[in-house]
Amino acid sequence: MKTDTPLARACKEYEEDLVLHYYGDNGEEERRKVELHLAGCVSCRHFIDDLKRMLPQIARAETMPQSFWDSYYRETVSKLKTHDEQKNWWRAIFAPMQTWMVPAFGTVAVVLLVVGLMFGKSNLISLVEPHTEKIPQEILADKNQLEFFDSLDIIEALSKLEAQDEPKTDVIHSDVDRASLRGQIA
Amino acid sequence: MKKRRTVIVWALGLLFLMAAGPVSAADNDWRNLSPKEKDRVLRNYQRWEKLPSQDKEHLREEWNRWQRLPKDQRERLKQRYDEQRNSRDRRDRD
Repeated sequence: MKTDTPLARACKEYEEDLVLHYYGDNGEEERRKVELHLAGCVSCRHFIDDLKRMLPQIARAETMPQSFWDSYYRETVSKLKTHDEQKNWWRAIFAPMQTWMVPAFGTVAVVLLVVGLMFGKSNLISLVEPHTEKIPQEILADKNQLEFFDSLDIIEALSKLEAQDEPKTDVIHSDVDRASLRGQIA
Repeated sequence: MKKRRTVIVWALGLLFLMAAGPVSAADNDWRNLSPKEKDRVLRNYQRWEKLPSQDKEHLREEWNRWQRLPKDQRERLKQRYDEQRNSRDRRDRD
C-alpha cells in the first residue's frame, strides 16, 4: 500500500516548520520562509506531499464513548501515581530528616573543627590512643577539680601553714610596737 | 514549626560544644601532668573519697579560701609546704 511507504526525508531544520505549514499553524513570516524553501528544495516538497497524503488518514480518529475516556483517565492517573511512588521512594525515607539534617551536619562539622583545633597534632596521638589508666570523671569534670585534687595536701595543711606565717607577723607587729614605744619614750 | 526545630538543633549543638570545651581542656591538662603528679592526684582523690562529708565540706571551704588568698601569699605558703615536705622526705630517707 502507498500509506506504508515511509515519509520522504526533509531538511532537518525545516521538518517541524513543514508540519506546522501543513496545518497552517505558522506565522506569516514563517510561512513565507517555508514557501521560499519549498520552491528550491525537492526533498522538502516530497516530504510535504507525503504529509498531505498520510496525515488525513491518521487524523481520521475513531470516536470513543465517554466510558472509554473515563477509564483511560483513571488508568493514566493510577500509572502516574505508581510512577511517582517508585521514583521518589528514597525521598519518602529521608523526608522526616530533611528539616534537621542541614543544622545537624553543620553542628557535626563545627564539632569536628573544634576538636581538630583543640587537639593539635601533638595531642592527636594521645587522643586516638586509649587511656591505659582509668581516671575518675570527678577529677576530669573541670580544670578546677583537677587543681583541687592536686593541691589537696596543701589545702589540708593550710591552717597550719598560715599559723606558721602568723608568728612572723606578730614579731613584725611587736617590732613596730616596740619602735613606737621607744619613740614615745624618747 | 520547621524553624523552631532548626533553632532547637542549633542550640543543642552549641550547648554540646560549650560543654565539651572545658571537659576536653581538663582532659588535656591531665595529659600534661607528670606521672608523679598524676599519682598524687589519684592518691588524693582516693583519700578524698573516703573522707566523711563534713571533712569534705571543710576542705571545700578551705579550697575556696585558698583561691581567694593573694597570689604572693599562696606562692609563699606553697613554697613553705614544699620545703617542709622535702625536709620530711629527707628525714624519712635517712
